[in-house]
Amino acid sequence: MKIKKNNYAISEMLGSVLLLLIAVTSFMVIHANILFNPFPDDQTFVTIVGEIKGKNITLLHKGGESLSLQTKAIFEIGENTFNIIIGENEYLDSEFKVDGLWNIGESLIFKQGSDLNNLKVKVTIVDVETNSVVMSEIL
Amino acid sequence: MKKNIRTIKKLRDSNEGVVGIVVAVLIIGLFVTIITTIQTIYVPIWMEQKEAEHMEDVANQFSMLKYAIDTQLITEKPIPISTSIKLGSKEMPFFLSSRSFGNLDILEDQFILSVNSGAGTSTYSFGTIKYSSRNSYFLDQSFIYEGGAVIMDQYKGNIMAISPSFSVELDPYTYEINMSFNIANISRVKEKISVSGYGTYPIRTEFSNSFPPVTINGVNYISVNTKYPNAWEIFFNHTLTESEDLEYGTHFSISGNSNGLKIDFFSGSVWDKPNLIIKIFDISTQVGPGWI
Repeated sequence: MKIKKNNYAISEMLGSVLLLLIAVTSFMVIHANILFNPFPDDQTFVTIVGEIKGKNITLLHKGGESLSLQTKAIFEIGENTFNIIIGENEYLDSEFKVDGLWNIGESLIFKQGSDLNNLKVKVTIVDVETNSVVMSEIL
Repeated sequence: MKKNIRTIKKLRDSNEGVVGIVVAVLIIGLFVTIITTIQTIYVPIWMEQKEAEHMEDVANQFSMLKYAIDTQLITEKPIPISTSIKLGSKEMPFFLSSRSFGNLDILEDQFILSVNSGAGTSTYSFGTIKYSSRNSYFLDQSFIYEGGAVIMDQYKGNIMAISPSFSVELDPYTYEINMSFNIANISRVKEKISVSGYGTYPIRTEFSNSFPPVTINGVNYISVNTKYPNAWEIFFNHTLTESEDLEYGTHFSISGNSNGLKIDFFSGSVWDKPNLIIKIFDISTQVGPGWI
């Protein structure tokens, strides 16, 4: 009977339960409103279109973020695979490389010795800064 | 006095309530850490994604606008068509983020085309429709309906998103080069020329007039006065060289600056300078609620 009448630590228990409730409610609200979105990866938003012109593959930057000259391009032509860094050699015109970026309206040309019209050509472009694939297409 | 000192000592030695306070501090700390992580890392990425998606939506809406205008040019009937453009995107709920805004303007005399031939120079001036974004996270872009084309402009350059109705034909027997250019002139209706904000606003276009086609023989040069010379230069170069195998330097050359570009045409031993047929349509355009 003595124990029943004892209300020692009731306020502490109530406080803890209330705090727990507040925490659970808050996380439920956050989860319901925000975290239903998948956690995002850092992405590069850019549009690149490619076309085959005889022996060349031309990639045109059609808007969005600029890409660094360290960006990688992978060309799978028939059975062969070519990995290039876009800033190397003469893939981009020298005047395009002045600002160190591949910008809107600028074209990258990958030259091949043979006609590409009857071959399967797949192009993948990887932005090394965000480590994301910004283009992956069969031309 | 002694009693007071004893009470204070008793309170100091008491451990009651410590657990509750520690739990409270830990929960608040955890809460603040999670909120800060989401606010500083995830919110900017989510918002950038949201604004980039909105820019894609505007690009699609401008393609619908061009489709509507092209339909009106073909039918040549005064049937009004409304095309909606979403000017901005909303912020995220509960977190600190900025919404994006945009402007939609109908501008006059933005695209000026001059054609020089032996008969003199003919000059035509055209209005444009321009959307400009004011993003907070993604880069700002503009979409412009100009000379029958849709152009995307952003910091560092511009490019043609949808080509205008310009064609080139080379007669294989006579080597005669014939070019044709159908252009819609965007004309304004009173004060309904500009809206700003983040909502969705309709652009109402209506065919109002078409002029008889003008044929210009032996074109020496075409001069284009525009704010987007890079887009037009790529387009003309691509169209002239690839549609009918005209050769840069032999049949034509293009020179440009920040205000426009000039296409010079050359005659040769078997071919003459090209002919150009221009057909102009007038499209009355207004934005904002309440049509006039």
